[in-house]
Parts: sequence; structure tokens; C-alpha cells
Amino acid sequence: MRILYVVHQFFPEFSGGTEQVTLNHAKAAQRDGAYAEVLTVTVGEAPKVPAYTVDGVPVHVIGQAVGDALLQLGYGEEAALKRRVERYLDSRPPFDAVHVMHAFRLVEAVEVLAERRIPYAVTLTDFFSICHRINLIRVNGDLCAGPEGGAACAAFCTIPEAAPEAYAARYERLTGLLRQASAVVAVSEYVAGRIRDQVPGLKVLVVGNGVDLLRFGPPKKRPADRPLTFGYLGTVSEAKGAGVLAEGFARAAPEGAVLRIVGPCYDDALAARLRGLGPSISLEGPVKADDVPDVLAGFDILCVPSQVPEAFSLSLHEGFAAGLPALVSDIGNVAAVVAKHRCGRTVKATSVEAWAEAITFAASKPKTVANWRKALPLPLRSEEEAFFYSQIYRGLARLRAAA
Amino acid sequence: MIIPTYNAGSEFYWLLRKLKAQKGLKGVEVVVVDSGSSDGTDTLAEKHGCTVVRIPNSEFSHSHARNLGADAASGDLYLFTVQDAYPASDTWLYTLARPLLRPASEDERVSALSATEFPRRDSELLYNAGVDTHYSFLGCRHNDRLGRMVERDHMSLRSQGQLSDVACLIPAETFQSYRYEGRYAEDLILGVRMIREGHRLAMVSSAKIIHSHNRPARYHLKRTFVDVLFLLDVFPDFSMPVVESVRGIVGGASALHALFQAWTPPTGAPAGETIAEFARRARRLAVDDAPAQPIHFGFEPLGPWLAEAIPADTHASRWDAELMRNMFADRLEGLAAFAGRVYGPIDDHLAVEMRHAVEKTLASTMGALLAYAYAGQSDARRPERMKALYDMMLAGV
Repeated sequence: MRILYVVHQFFPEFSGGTEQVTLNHAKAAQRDGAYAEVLTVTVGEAPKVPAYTVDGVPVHVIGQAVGDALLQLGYGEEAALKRRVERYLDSRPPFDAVHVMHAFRLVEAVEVLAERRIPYAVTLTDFFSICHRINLIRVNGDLCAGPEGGAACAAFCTIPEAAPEAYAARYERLTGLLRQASAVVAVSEYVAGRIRDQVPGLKVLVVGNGVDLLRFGPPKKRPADRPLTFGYLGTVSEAKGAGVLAEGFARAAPEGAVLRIVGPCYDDALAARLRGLGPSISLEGPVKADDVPDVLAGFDILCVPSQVPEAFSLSLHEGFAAGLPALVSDIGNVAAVVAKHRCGRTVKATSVEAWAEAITFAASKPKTVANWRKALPLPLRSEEEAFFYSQIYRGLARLRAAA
Repeated sequence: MIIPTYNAGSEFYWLLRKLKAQKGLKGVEVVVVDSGSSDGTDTLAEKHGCTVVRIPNSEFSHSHARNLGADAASGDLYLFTVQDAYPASDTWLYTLARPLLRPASEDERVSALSATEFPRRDSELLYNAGVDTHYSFLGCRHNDRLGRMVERDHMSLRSQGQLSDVACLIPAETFQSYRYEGRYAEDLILGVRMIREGHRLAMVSSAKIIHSHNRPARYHLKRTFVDVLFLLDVFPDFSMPVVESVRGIVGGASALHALFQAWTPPTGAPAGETIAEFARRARRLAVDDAPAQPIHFGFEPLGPWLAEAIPADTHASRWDAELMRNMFADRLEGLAAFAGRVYGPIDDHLAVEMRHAVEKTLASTMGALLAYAYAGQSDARRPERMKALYDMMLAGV
């Protein structure tokens, strides 16, 4: 079987979560006996390196018009990009299955697939298909229920360069491509629910991101002399809630407890503010992926205070693997998962007071925290995720063969 | 669920949790048969509510441990699995059990079935290629396969009668009327015995078990030695070449290893064609007068044995050296076909994997030929040295 992965950016230039998941899928497909190739895009007419490999996975790069944000977001069509995608596909032996990992910057590529009736699966890792802001947060910071066919976008999230009718056209275009997909997969029930609400009748499967469980062993006994440790893992930003969490912790000031904030921070003002909140809060900088299990083993309670709805949160699930109950925002998938399993507590995302109260509660109720720990779900293993997709690819290949 | 264990390591924790998380069945009992773990495997199992049967390590055999586990189990169905496997969903066991409990039709009724494997993220290239070939042979690469008695030759018996103890589900009553037999490959033996008596078996690709290996060359050397002896023992029609000269086998292997050591897969070249080209080079290699260096692929006990066996070997060596070369090239061609289908251009990462796979193929080929050399001698005429080889190669496999 020949599988093509379509993703808006890739290694080595970018190394985010979607890129890593794409590489994981491609390598799992190879181990399972399939040929796997990645198609990605870069800004510029002609990429400097149009073809290379990453860990044995071939990657092909096509160029895109310089800096046209509207086109990248799915407003309007870049004919040249479409032609490049067509030339690329013409240059390759046919693919049996195509997996669209993210359509950002590559809506034209998905259109080519649909026009050529090449079966494709789309994974929804966020809300790009129904929200040009990607996260279902309006310009004014309010949560958005969905585009309502583009009307909500036109009312609350206008783009100066976009024509009034562009929002409805984008909605029709991108959701039309979802309807033409042979499989639509969301990374969480939360994402699937939002999409189903806005695209009536669309069948959406749910396959979460897998955790590399082999890196985690049984939870170790915590050292008796370690202070109660609240932990934050991920990019340190206001959107991810690092500020509100740290301020909540400083306000609660639980006796003998500490807050460790681990992850890269690109916001100097935020970093300075966090450092000024007292010695019990540490800002520890980025961590290598291989060291994540050790970092999590040093926490007692994971905090995921995102101010925008998380579509999945790998950190939360890696925390489960490390035996960590969680305090999480009351929005997005993290809230849904913690509420479902009762393995922590949801907290009003934007409220410093609420975070302070939750931290005080967790610090003073060890039995409750122990019960949360007992209720932790078993995360999906990364190979399980790969297996589910291998079944989807087989379905696509059957469609391709039948066509 | 019956799991033989020995120093299962930290990942065993995840298997126990996954087994306990299985949905759709009335209940799950886990029986662990531990053969002397020193890493706490047995106590971890007890902590998770498993029944633990402890046996001395010296008492372990694949059949014996599993039979003991079955005797300690109380359920209606036995699921035999292994300590480094992992079901690929929470409804995996239910999916597997359904054809036994509620077959959709009489055509689907089977007496036992096994799940096929989905590779772990640390799986090696040679294992992946081997599974691909094996499942294609069994007819379960992409489909569920029903096996039944068709012909009596070993190819038919093996393809139809294969069960796998990585995940083998069988009603307790059926199992107890057969039980495992043999020191090794007890799953295949069970399956062949069952189809000979009219049972139908299934190899299921729709419910996978996550499992694979990444083992050193020395393991492949030993494992293939054991595999070949097993096939010769169980299937009388399994044909074998005449191999007499250990000096010839090792001479061929050491010449090929020298060729391998000088080989660097070129960056950017197509992976499959690169291995195929190396196979062609190997096939052209003159090995008839190759000096036999005691090459042991990291299996240290074999070194001193070879140092004694090679000078003492008086058989003509040319035929066996050439056989070693040709069998290695044949096997490489199989590996090349898989690599050609799966990989594109070579990079540093892939080059390392390819080199490992090629060296393990060489070790595996030498293991096969040593087994033929051993099996070619009757028990009465077999020198003590060859008996020592047998004991050495079987230890720990």
C-alpha cells in the first residue's frame, strides 16, 4: 500500500505536535509494510530543497505564494499551488490512501484529491475547518460555538481584507472537503462534537493521540521529603494559562507546596512576571521529549490551565501515564476528559481566584487527590493509534481499488 | 488470560492494566506463570490481582509453563499471550472472542484463533519484513484467515494450522483435551494437531496484538538454529540440504561478513535496490577457499567452540560455503523486496537499520546451516562436539 501524508509544515523547519504525529504515523505505516511519503508546503515559489528524508520517510515540498495569509487560511484559491500539487501527484506512482494531517496552507491540495477522487482521510487536530482563527475563540476573547455557516465569523471575527461573502464561502469550501473525505477523524470527542454541531450529518470518528507508553513505567513512590508539587508542562504563554495559574498559586500560597513551570517561554514580560511571584514558583525552561517522563515523575498534580479550548492535550494524557491527577481549565477537551473520569477538577479558566481555590483544595485534601489518582484512565498507546489508522488506510485502499 | 513471565520489565505494568481494562466480557482472570523473575514481575502481578504460579527457572518450557497456567485458570476461555504484548484496543478480547462465542454463521465457527501482530515502535526492519512474509504465507496479511486440514505436506499444515501464542484464544475444554506439547513452537504443534482432527482455526488480522522484537544478531543466529531443528523434527517431509562442513559454513559466513563490513548503503540511493545489489555482490563472492574465521555474531560461547570445530573439520568445505553464500543472497532478496516496497531513498537513519537487518540475515543464515549440519548426522554418529553446539544454541531461546 502507498500512503501519502499531507501536512502544512514539517521537519526539520518545524517540529511541533502535528509534525511529530505525522512522522509517527508514517514510520508506523512503514513498519506495517506500507510505503509512506509526506507532502508539505513552504513559503516561496521554489523550495530550496524540494525532496529529502526524515528518519527514512521521504518528504516532498512544494512552494506557496509568499505571505498571503488569506490564501493560507482557506480564503480564495491559489491556482499555482494547485498546479504544483497536480504536477507532484502526476510525477508519483498512484497513492492508495491519503491522510490529510492538517489542511492549513494546503486546502488546494485537498481539493485536488477530491477532484481526482483519490480517497482521503482528514484528521481534525483543531478547528481550522470551521474557524479561520483555528481555536474557536472570537476576536474579543469569547468562546465561539461555531461559524453558523460563516455568519458568526462575519459578525465577530472579520478580516479587513476579506469580502463579506467570503466567510460563508470558506465554510462551504472547507466543510465540503470534509464531506467529500472518505474518513473524518477527530482527536477527541470534544472536537468531534463541535464539528458535528456545525456540519450536520457528517460522520466523525474519534481517535486520540497515542502516548509512547514504553517510556513510562509503573508510577514510582514519591520521595517523602519532596514538597507537594504542582506542575505545568508546555509552552509558557498567556494563551496556555501559565500566567493565571501562577497568580492563582501565588494567591493560594499552599504551605510547603511548589509550582514547577516547565517549557519554553517566548514572552519575556510573562517570564519576568512569573519569576516575580515568589520563590515557590520556578520557571525551568524547555525540556527534551525524552525527558518528559522524568519531569512528570517529579510532579504530584498536573495543571492544564489553557485559556483556549484544547483539542486534545498530549500533556494531560502523558500526565495520566505518569500517574498524575490534574487541575484543568473548564473549557475544551481537558475539561471533558477530567469530568468524565473524575480524575481531577475543572477550574474556571480565566479566574485567578478559582485557580487559587482549586490549588488550596488539592493541597489540603490528600485523600481526594488519591481518589483522583485511582480514577486515572489508561491512555491510548501510540501503536494503538497507528493500528486504528492502518484500518482506515485499508478502507481507503479498498475504495481506491474499487474505483 | 495466561502469561508466562520472566523479568518482564516495566512495560508489563501496562499490559496488566490493559488486560484489566478489556470491555465486553463478563470478567477477566489473569494467571501469571513466573519462572524465577528477579525484577518483581511476580509481585507486580499479585498487586494487580493476578493468580501467580511460581516455578523454578530450570522447570520452564514454553509448553509446561502454559499448561500450568491453564490448570490454574478457572474461566471458560483461555487467552494465551506473552509478557511484551499489548492488545490494540479495549474491546480487543471481545472482538477476538466473538467468533468463538457467537459466530455470525456456521461458516465462521472456529475452535481456536490467534490475533496477528502490529509492530511496536521499536520494531526492527528484519522482524517487519519477516512478519510480512510469514503472514503472506499464512494468508492473513490483510484478511482474517480460516485454517483447516487441506493437504498433509508441511507447507499446507504450517499455513493452515498456525496458531500464535502471542495471542491465542481457545475454549478451556478444547485446550484441556489437547494441551501444549513440545519444548518449542508449541502453538504451531497445537494447531497442526487440531486441524488434523478436523478443527478449524483462524488467524485474525482485524484484531491486532501489538508485539514485535528488536533483537541482536546473536539471537537470530540461535533462533534460526532452533527453528530449523523444530521444522525438521515435526515435519518429516521438510526437506533439507546436505551440509557437512562447519568449516565451509563458517568460511562462507566470515567471507560474507567481511563483504558486509565494507558495505555502506549510499545516501540517496533506493533502499530496496541497494540491498538487492548487495545480494548480487554476495552471490558473486568467491567463497570456496575462504578462511574460516570463528565468527559468532556476539554469541560469545560460540567463539571457542568454533575455534576447536573448524580445525577438526575434515569435510570438504566448498559446497557448504557456496550454500551459505547462496542462501544468504536468497534471503537478502526477500529483504530487498520488502525494503523496495516500503522505503524510498536511503538516509543515515535508514542506513543503520539496513545494516542491522543485513547482518542479522547473515547470522540467521549461519544458524540455519549449522542446524542442517547438526541434523544431517544421526544421533548415534553425532560427535560430542555437535551435541555441545545443540545445547549451547538452545540455551535461553
